[in-house]
Amino acid sequence: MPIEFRGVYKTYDGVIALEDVSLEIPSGKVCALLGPNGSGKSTLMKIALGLVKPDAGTVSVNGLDPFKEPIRVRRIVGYVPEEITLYESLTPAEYLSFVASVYGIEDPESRALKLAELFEFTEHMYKLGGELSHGNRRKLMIISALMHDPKVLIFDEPFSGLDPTSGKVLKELLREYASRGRTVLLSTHILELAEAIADRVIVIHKGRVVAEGDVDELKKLTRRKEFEDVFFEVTGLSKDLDEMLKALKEV
Amino acid sequence: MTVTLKLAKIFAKEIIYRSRKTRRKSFFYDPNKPISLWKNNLVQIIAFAFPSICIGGACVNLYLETGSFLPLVLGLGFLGVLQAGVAGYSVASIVNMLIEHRLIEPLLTRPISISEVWGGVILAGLLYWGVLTSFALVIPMVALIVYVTGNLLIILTSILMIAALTIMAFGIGFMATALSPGVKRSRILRGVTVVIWLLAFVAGYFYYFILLKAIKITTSENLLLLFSILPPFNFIMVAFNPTDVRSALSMIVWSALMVILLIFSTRRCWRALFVGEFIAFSLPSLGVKTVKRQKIVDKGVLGFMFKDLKILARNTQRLSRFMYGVLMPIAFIAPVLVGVSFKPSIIAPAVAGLSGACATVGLSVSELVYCEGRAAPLLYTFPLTRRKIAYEKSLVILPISLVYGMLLSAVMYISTGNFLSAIACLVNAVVVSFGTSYAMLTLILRNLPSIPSEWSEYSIELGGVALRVIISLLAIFVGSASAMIFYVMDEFYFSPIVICLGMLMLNLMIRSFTPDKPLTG
Repeated sequence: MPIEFRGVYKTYDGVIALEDVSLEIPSGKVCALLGPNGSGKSTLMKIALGLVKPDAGTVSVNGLDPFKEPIRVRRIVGYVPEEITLYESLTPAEYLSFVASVYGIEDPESRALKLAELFEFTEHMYKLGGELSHGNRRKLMIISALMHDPKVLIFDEPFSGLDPTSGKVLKELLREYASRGRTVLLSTHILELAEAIADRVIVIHKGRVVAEGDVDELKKLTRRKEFEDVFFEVTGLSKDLDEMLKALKEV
Repeated sequence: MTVTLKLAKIFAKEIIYRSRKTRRKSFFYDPNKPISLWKNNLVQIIAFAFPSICIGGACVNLYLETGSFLPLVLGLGFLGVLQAGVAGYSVASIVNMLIEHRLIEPLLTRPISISEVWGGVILAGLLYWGVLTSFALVIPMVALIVYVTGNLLIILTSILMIAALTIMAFGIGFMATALSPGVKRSRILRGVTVVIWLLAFVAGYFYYFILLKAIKITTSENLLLLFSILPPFNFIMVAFNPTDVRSALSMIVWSALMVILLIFSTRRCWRALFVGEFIAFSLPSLGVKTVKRQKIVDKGVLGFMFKDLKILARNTQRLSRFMYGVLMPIAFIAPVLVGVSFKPSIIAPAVAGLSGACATVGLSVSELVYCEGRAAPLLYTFPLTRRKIAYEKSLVILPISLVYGMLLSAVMYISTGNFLSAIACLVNAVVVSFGTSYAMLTLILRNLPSIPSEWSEYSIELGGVALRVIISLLAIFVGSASAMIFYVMDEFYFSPIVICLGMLMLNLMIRSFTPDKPLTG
């Protein structure tokens, strides 16, 4: 399997972030990680890239251990972090030149411009990073993650802040990458989006994988028509939600 | 507690946390406790009081010997300038951080008035960020003057001087912040700013020479005239010559000008504080700015160098600090060169020694890591090891040291006519500056945190600063000494061999305990 987690545990100052997570992310499919805030999605993605070390368990990306061979893993992965960090005093063109140097990309100019055109980013290529809006910063992060045509895509909340057109482009692009046999793992809070784009959905709650499969499978399993209801059912949040809605009326 | 004071405490603590990004406790900082006024100021007060007592003592002694009050005016005036400089620098740095992290923005949605927010910023600057401590540069000398001369008026005029200089410091700090976006965009302004910064760095050095000469002047009509119209000297002049209308008038005029500067700079700065400098200052120019096309190319091993040079070139403060380290060796021999006109017998050995003293660059390469700023976590996601980052960053030094080395070799060739010595100069300068830079960067990279979110400017300081300074100083001393020895032995062209071997050994040693793993490893 391109990405495999086996019995992964992670705690932060005694608080459990991931508990016995065993997962297989296949190639050729768009896999979406779903879960409430703080459920452990970002931690899991960071572990796959070797940015966060698990307390126990093993991880492999295309057969490589991200902690034993971190450089090789980073060469094949395109990663978009949830929190955007960029050089504010560099223009996107300058930053992408740097990315090209790090990965040794052939003809980076045409690659970057193609991607920039796709995301309607061309006009922002020569502004300073600090002048970009939140959405455009996100676009730059996505473009830079795709520059080296990675075999594995790990995108943490990539749709956050994107305009509808770019959102649509990204959806198509992720599907296209998956159809070419690449591995696509993304996280999102938007259930409709996951339903629309993902071939496979993994629901994480309180650091544990609580459901896994394609959307229709999960609907059948839980006997629910709406995916939103499936999500609340598998996470056990439906009871909390009922109580919250009751309390809401009292506000 | 008033809203203003509460805000001041929040700003002060937030800035400390953001610059450290650690929950580690220390004597000066405990993340679980409110910020402490005395812990934040005490050490600096002692540190600043020391030069005040030394300079004050020397000036008072001269006053007692000659009976002229001019040395007192000169000494106290110098300390006043220093106080304004320290306060202004603190204010500019902190306001810049408030803007960079957009810390004021969340307050806009709260029922807090703009004047309360400004009050909070000013109070935080005054109480926690070094403005209050800067007063310690002036107060001990004033106390000495009062004790020796019995002149009580100096207390009043000194208070007025401190107040006016503090207002000016805030004005300059806010103005510097307000002007920084324009500076970032204009190459000419960036160049001018770097020169101003460099002058500020060496100001104390030059003042020392001026002070040495001027302190001997006990009576001078021209100097009296200058002091009576120039701040902060005019404030002190009023105390010693209360009947002089010129001094009193200029004191009032300058005080008014400083208040106007503060009001003006506050107006320019507030927008950046509320919405961030890039948004605040780029909005009006949108649509009219011409876009200059930049080619996206894989620059290979030079990619890092181009990135770092660009970031450095756009951050004048960092560039100036970096340049200061590069140019520092010149300051060592400047007093030798000044006044000797062009005597090859003096210049040639000085240049020979200088070629081996380029390790000063090693002291400033940390700027190449600082310049990563908040984007540093990106480095953790790239397929780069600690050693590789250190190596690629140290390449920045190569072009600079080449230019520097060529200048030295040209001087050597002109003064001796010996081609081999000139080449030896070039090799020494390049090898020493590149070697120490690589060693220092390897040490810094070795000690950076392995978790991206823990990265902060403070983490660079954690990386064995003392060890880095010791190694740099050793390299400076050994490098220049060996170059000089070979020069004196008339076999200067052998010095590059020894220096190359020395640098190789230093780097192999440091490299051996730096793992070839990514930052996360």
